[in-house]
Amino acid sequence: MRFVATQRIAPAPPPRDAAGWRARLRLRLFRSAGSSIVTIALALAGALLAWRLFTWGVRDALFANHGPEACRAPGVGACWAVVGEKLRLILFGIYPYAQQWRAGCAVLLVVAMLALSTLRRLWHWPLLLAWASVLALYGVLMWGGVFGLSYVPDDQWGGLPVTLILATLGLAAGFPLAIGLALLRHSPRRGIGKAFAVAYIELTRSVPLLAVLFFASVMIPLFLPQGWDVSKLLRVLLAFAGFIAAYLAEVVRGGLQSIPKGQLEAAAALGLSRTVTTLRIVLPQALSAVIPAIVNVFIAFFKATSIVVVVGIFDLMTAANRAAADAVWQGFGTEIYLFVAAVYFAFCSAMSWYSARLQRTLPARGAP
Amino acid sequence: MTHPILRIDGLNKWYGTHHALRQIDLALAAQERIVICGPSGSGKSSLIRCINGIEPFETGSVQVCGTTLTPAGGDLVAVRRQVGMVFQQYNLFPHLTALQNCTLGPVSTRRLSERDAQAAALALLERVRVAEHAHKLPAQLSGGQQQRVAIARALCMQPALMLFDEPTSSLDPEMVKEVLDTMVALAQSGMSMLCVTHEMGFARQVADRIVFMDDGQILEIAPPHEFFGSPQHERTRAFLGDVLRH
Amino acid sequence: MAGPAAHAGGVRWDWAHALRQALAFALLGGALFLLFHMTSANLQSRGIHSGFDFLWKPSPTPVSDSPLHFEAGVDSYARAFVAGALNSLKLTGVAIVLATLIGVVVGLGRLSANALARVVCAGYVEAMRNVPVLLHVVFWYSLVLQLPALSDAAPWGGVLASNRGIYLPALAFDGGWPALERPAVDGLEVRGGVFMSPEFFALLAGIALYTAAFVAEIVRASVGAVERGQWEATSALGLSRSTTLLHVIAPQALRVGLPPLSSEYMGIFKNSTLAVAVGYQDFMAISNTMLTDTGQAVEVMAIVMAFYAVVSLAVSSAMHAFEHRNRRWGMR
Repeated sequence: MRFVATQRIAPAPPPRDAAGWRARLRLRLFRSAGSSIVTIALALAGALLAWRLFTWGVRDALFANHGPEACRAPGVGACWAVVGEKLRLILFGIYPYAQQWRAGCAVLLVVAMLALSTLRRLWHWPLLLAWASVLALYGVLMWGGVFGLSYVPDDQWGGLPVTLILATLGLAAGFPLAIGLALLRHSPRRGIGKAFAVAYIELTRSVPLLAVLFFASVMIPLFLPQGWDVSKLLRVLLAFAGFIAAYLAEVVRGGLQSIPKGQLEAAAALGLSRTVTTLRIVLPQALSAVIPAIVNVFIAFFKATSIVVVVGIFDLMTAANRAAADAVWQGFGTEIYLFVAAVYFAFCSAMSWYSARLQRTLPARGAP
Repeated sequence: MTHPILRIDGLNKWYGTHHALRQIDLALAAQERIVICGPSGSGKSSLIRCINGIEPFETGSVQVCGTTLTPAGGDLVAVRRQVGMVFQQYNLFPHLTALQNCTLGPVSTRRLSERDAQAAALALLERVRVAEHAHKLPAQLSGGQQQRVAIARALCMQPALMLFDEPTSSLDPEMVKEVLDTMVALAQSGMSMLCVTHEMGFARQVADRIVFMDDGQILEIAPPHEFFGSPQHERTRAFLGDVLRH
Repeated sequence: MAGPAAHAGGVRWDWAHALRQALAFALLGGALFLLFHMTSANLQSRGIHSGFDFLWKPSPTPVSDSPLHFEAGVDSYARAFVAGALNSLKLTGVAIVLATLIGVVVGLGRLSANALARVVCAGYVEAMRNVPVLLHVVFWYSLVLQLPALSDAAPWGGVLASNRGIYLPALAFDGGWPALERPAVDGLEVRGGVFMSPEFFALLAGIALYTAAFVAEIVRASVGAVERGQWEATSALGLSRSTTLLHVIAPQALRVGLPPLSSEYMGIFKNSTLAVAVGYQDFMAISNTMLTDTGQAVEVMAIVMAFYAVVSLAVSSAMHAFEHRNRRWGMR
C-alpha cells in the first residue's frame, strides 16, 4: 500500500508523431464517415469550380486587346482586354484624360498617408497636421486652378479618388461630431444635450444610408437661402459625415464606458477641471481603447461609398457601371465587375488584416 | 489488488514540450477513496482529466471498469457512463434549472423516461440537501448549493467511480463545509472516489490512501495516519510543513 | 447624479446648469426655426404646396411585381407606398431566411473538425465580406441579364433560368397531396412555378450571400463564447454530440448571438433600399418616384424616414428587452 519514489523522473521530450503526416491528414480530413463525405464532396465541388474558372478565366481568355469582336468570337472565355481598355475610366472616371496624372497622384497621396497612419510610432499631434496638409494637397491636385494646373470642377471627378476622399473625409469630418455626441450621451446629467444626442444617434442608425443621402441631396438646397447652393459632392460628404458620426459615437461611447471610475475620482482629487479631465484623461484612453473598432467602421464606410452611384456621384462603383454599360464593349460586365471587386477586396482585406493585428497587439487595459 | 476499478499504467502526458505527467502508475480498488494532493502545477488536475478522456495523453493506458483507454483511442462513451466528474467551476448549465441539469443526462442517453429521471433526480437532490431549490436556475443559487447540484447531476448517471477536481477551491470558506459534508456522506455510502483537493481535514477523515504529486510525478502514497504522521519523502515533508503551518 | 466636484457651490451650481440648458434649448430651437423658415420659403417660391393630401390622389406611375395589386392612374399614392412597403418586406423576409440558412452552415463549418470545411468556409467569409454589397447585387444582375432568352432556355432540375427572370418549382396541392409544380415554357409564356424577376433575384442573391458571411462570423463568435467548461461537463456526462449541441450549446450561443444577429437582419432591411440601383420597386424607389412626381420633398422624406425608423427601432427595443431578460441567467 505504501509507496515512496526513490528518484525523480527527469522531464523527457514528447514522443514525435509516430505515424507522421499521413495520420495527421487522416485526422484532419477523414476522422469519421461524415467527415470523409464532406471532404470528398467539397474536394470534388472545389475541383469542378476551379476547373471551370480556369478554362473561362485563363485558358480560353483573351488578354490582348484586339477589339470587342475578337472577344465575342466563339470559344473565347473571359475578355480581360476590356479591363485594359477601360482601366482609365474605371480608375479615374470622366476626369480629363490629359490631367489624370493629377488624380493618380492624389490617390497615391491618400493611400500613402493611410499606410503611414498605421504605424503606431507616428501617433502624435503632428500626424493630424500632416493629414490636414495632405487633404489640402489633394484639393489642389484635383481642383487645380493654381500653380499652373487647369481647373477641374468636382462634378468631373470620378472613380477611385472620389471613393477614397469620401471615406477619408467623411470619417475625418464625422469624428469631431461623433466625440461630441458620445460625450453628450455619456454624461450622467439629464438635459437637452443628452436627449438630442440620443435622438440623433438612434434615428440615424435606424435609417438606411441611401435615405440619408437622398435627404441630403433633396433637403440641403431647401435649407439654404435662395441662390446659395453647394455642389453635389459636398452635399454627399455632409450626409456621410453626419451618418458616420452616429456609428462612431456609439463606438466612442463604448470606449468612454470602459474607463474605470477610479480615473475620474483621481482627476477630481487632483483638482483638475472637467474640461481638462475630459480632454487629457478620459478621451485619450477611451479612443485608444476602441481604435480597432474605429478601423472597422472605416472599412464598413469605405464599402458604403459605393452607394453614392444612386445619387449621381461618380465613384469607383459608378465607373464600373459606366464601363460595363459601354455601347461598343457590350456584354463584358462580368469581367469589369470582377476587376472592381478585386480592387475593393484589396483595400478592404488589407484594412481588415490591419484591424485584426491591432486587436492582437494593442496593450490590454491596465498594462503599462 | 484484484480487479481494481481504476488502473493507470505508465501514463505520460505532454503539453507541447512540457512534460506534465511522468510515468504515472496508480490503482484504485472498488469502494476505495484516494485523495491526490500536491503543489499547484504538479499535474493533479491533468491526471484526473485523463481518466475520463477530457484530456488526451501520449503514452500509457487507463483501465476503467473494464474499458481500456490508450493514446490511440478507446470507448470513451462507455467510460463516461461509469465515471462521474465534479469540476472546480461547477459547470452547471446556466439556462436549465437544477432539476433539468440533473435529468438531461439520463433522459438523453435514454436510460430513463422523463418522469423516472425526475423522480430519481429529486431523490438525489434531496440527498445532497438542495431539493427545495430544484426549480431554480443556477444563478439563483449560492456557490455551495451549485456545487452540490453538480454532485447530484453526476450521481444521476449512476457512476461506479466519482472524480472530484478541486471541488471546493472556488467556494467561500462558509460554503466549503457544506460541500465537504456532502462528499463525506457520499464516501460513507460506499462510492469509489478519486479526489484532488487541498482540504487536508477532509483527506484525513475520508481517504483510504493519500497520493502526493510534484512536478508530474507521484512521489509518495500512504494511508492518512502514516502520510501526516511520518511522511517519508523530503518533498512531502516540505509540502506538509507549508500546508499545515497555515 | 452629478460628478464628484458638483456638490461644492450648492445653489450656484443649479443656476449654472439651468442656464446651460436654457442656452442649449434656445440654440436648438433657433436652428430648427431657421431651417423651417428657410424650407417653407424655398418651397413656396417653387410653387409647392404643403400637406399630406397628395397621398389620396391617383399616382400615374405603375408599380410592378407587388403582392398588392396596383393600377397606375387609378390607385392612390398611399396605395403605392403600401405596395412598395410590401415589396421591401418581401425582399427582406426572404433574404433573412436565406442569409440565416447559409450563414449558420458556413459559421458551423468554420468550427468543424474537418480542415477542408474550415478553409472553404473561411474563404467564403473573406471573399464575401470585403466586397461592397452593391457590387454583389450589380454583379448578379449582370449575370442574370446574360442568361439565354426564354425561347432558348431549358429547365434544369425544375429551375428555369432566363434573362426574363428565374422560375422555381412551386409547392402546389394536387388533390390534397403536396407536389412540385415545375415551370414549363409555353410559347411566349411560362406556365407554373414561382417567378423571380431579374431585379429581385439579383437583390436576393447579392444581399443574402453578403450578409451570410456576417451571420457566419456571429455564429462562430457565439459558439466560441460558450465556456469551455460547458463542453467538458457534457463530455463528462457522456452526452452525445447532438444532445450537447442542441440542448446545451445552442441555447447559450443563441442568447449571446441574437442581438448582433438582429442588427444584421436590420442591415438586410436597410440594404433592401439598393433596389433603387437595379430598378426594383421597393419603398425607397417608389418614394423617389413620388418625390419627382409631386415635388413634396418634406412630406415624402418624412414618410420614408418614418417607415425605416419605426421598423428598426421596434426591433432594437425588442432586442433590449430580450437582453434585459437574460440578465437573470447571470451570464455576461
